[in-house]
This record gives sequence, structure tokens and C-alpha cells, in this order.
Amino acid sequence: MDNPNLGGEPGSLSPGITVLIPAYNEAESISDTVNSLLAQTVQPAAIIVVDDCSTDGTAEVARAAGATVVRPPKNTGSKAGAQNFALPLVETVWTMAIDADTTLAFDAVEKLMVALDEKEVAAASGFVVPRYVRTVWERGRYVEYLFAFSFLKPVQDFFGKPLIASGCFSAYRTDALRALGGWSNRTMTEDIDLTWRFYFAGWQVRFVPDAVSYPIEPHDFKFMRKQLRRWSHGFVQNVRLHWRRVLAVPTLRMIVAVAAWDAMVASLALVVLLPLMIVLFSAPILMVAYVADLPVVLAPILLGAIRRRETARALASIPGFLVLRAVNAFFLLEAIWSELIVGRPLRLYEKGH
Amino acid sequence: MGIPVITAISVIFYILMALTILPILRAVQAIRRSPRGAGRPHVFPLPVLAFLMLIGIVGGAWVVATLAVYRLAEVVPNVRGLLPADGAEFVLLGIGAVSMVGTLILVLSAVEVLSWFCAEREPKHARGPDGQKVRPTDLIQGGVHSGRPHG
Repeated sequence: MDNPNLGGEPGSLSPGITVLIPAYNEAESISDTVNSLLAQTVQPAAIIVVDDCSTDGTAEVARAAGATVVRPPKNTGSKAGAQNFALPLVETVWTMAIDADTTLAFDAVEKLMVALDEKEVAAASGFVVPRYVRTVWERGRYVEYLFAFSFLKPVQDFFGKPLIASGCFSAYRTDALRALGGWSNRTMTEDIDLTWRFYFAGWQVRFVPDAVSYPIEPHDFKFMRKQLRRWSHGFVQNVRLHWRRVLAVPTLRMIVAVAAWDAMVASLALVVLLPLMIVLFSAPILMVAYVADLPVVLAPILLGAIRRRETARALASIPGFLVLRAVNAFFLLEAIWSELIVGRPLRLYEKGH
Repeated sequence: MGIPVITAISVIFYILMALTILPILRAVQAIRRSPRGAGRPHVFPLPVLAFLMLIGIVGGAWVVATLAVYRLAEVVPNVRGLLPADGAEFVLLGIGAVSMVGTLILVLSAVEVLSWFCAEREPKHARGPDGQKVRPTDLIQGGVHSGRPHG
């Protein structure tokens, strides 16, 4: 546990939800985030922005928008650190974590809270759609999310084991969160770490597709690279850290195994084997393998897009998805190589946008 | 193996995919619409469907690629020159795709086996506070060493 003294007696919490927003140099986006929280059908009891020693006036903007602002004495170095700094201040039964560049649909909190009514549920996360879909990277991410949140997550939720309660928009039972020591910064992806620890402690996690959030995704390769590195290394770090305990959770171990297979074997095929075969056999026609699974992958993507009335946007974003998929595969292999083979773990938390 | 045989096999996969994807999507819909706490709705076993769809993904993708390329070859003469007469590359592609599915099944099987080995097992004989061996049934029934009251 990173922070064993997180304060708060389980019985002393009042009804309602407190929103924690870790922020480092988010002056441009923080007011949209706070405003979308203030416009919710279910109002949060408190909105706390953790200004992690920003230099761009984030605190002033957040305060002007109506949030309570707290500031650690020095930069905590990670999102987990900023969130843990504010966790002792939470006085409500529920705690919500939301990124400083994320806005919510007007009823997102209300929809999310329905899932948390169940006594055994400690965390719930919602649907994620990029707020801007303009560059090739944003388009790739848009299709990736449509696939993940329209198909993969509902299936995982059916088996009661969503792989991750997304860090950009999730709500938690405060006492359960405190009992686990809050968020951990021992890996690059604190949300995977926390979600799995809830499972180990016997809690359930839910995915709520009707609760929609809109984060700003990396718009160029520079930022996308940072984010993909962090996510890839974070996943490998969590598998390495928790693999024994994951094996003891029947459905979770299957879902993690599929994700690990995808990270390793599929990435290897995409980035190494296929190019090798194309060169060795002098058969450029084998490049069709890069798009061979599209007919099937497109089915849930288009269904999700039709439901959102964004079919044209989804179709136009498919090339971006293919590019992002290949780049993602590269970073996953790089993470496996660095973390597991040469023992060069990623320790520096870099913002992806 | 000629192109017609490959295509015929792929068509079977494609039909399989078409047959499985709709029930899966319907199942997911049913799950989403069911109220929380009311228990899971009864749907056709999702893992079976998911597995069939996985096979369908491989075969379906294969047939689409095969047909598309050979159709292209009919229209664009230059493409015909790129294609092997016996379809060797496509056989290779198919083997590759099936191997991918094979590796996934291997990984999942390995995880199950590992979890079995790593699971904490109930010892045949537990030790009581005095170091004496006790049978698990003694513990369950509230025996002397379990610390639970008698009767």
C-alpha cells in the first residue's frame, strides 16, 4: 500500500459523491470538466481539483469554475499520487475519479450511481468517447473505443469481470477504496491495479454503457507515444505484479490471458511476422492480412456507431484505427521487451496529452 | 490445395461467423437491458458462441481476402501477375491465421493449468494448536482443534 493513512472512518461517511480531479497544467480544459459536473442531473456533494503544482494557472481557473482546489506541497509525480492526496478529504460514501480533460454527458453520474447501488459493487466505470475526432490518432482512438466499449466491455461485464474500471471516469465505494490504500503508483496504470485489487478483495466491478464520458485524446504522435508507452508498460507491470493472484480469479484470468495474448502474439504477428513473410516470400499480397479481420471487427464498431448516429464518422476513421493498431502493437512489444526481458521498467509518469 | 478448395472451406467459416455474431450481439443486448440484481438473463452460452465466432473471424477474414484479391485480379491484369497459380501464399496465410487461434487456445489452456497448480489446496491433515494432526472433517464439524464450540 502506498498510503496506509488515508483517513476517514467507514461509518462516518455521508450520502452522496465526491469528485476528485487530478490536474497538472490543465488550465485549458479544467473549466469544461467542472462545468459538466455542475450540470449533472445528480449533483456531486463536492468537486475537488487537486492542482499538482501546475504552472499555468489551473488552480485559479478551477476555483473560478466553482471547484474546491487543494494543492500538495510538491508535485506528487503521478495521477495516483494526486488522487491519494485528496482521498482523506472525501466525506461521502462514493468517490468519483475523473480526468481534468474529461467532460460527462449530463446524466452520466446518475447512470453510474445505479450500478453502485448493489452492495457487493465497489467500482463502476462508463462508456468513453473521444471529445474531438479530427486527426488520424483521434480517429484511431475513436474506433478503438467504439470496439472496446460496444463489444469487449459488455462481454467482460456479462461475466462480472471488466478488465479495467477506466481511470478517466469511474466511481468507487469510498470505504472500499480506503481499505485498499487508495490508488497505487507502483505501476504506470493505477486503474488496472485498483480494479484487480478490488477483485482480489472480493468486490465486484461494473461497466455502465449508458454513462458516457468525453476525454480529450492525444492529437499527435508525440502525445500518443507517451500515452501508449504508459498504457503498454502499465499493463505488463500489472500482469507481472499480480499474475499469481489473477490466476485465482476464474474469469479474470481468462480475460487477462486474452489481453496478454493479444499484446504478445497478435502484436508479434502484426509487427514482426507479417513484414518478414512479405519480404522473405516476396509476396506483397500478404499485406491483406492487415485488414483481413476487418469484416468482423467492423460489425460491433458499426453497430455502436449507428446507435450513436455516427456511422459516417466511424467509417471515415477506419484507416486511423488500422494505423493506431499497428503502432499500439509496436509499443506493446517494446513494453514486453523492456519490462520482462531486459529489465528496464518505465518509472517516469508522463502525461499523454 | 487449390483456390476453389480454400474458398469452399472459407465459405463454411464465413457462414459460421454470420450465424454466431448475431446471437452474440443479441445476447449482449439482452444483458444490457436486463435490470441489475434480477439475475443474469438466460442466453445461449456466450463462451461457446465467442469461440465459434473466433473461428469465424479467421475463416471469414480469409474468404473475404481471397475473394477480394482474385476478383481484383479479374479486373486488373497486373494483379494477376502477383498471384501464385496454386495459391501457396493463401495457404500460408490460412495456416498463419489458424496458428494464431491455436496459440490463443494454448495460452488459455496454459493459464487454466497454471491456476490449478497455483491454487491453495486444503491440506489432507491440518495441525491443531498442540501440533497434532487433525482431519479436515474435524474442523468442519467443530472438532476440538477448530476453536469452534461443540454441538
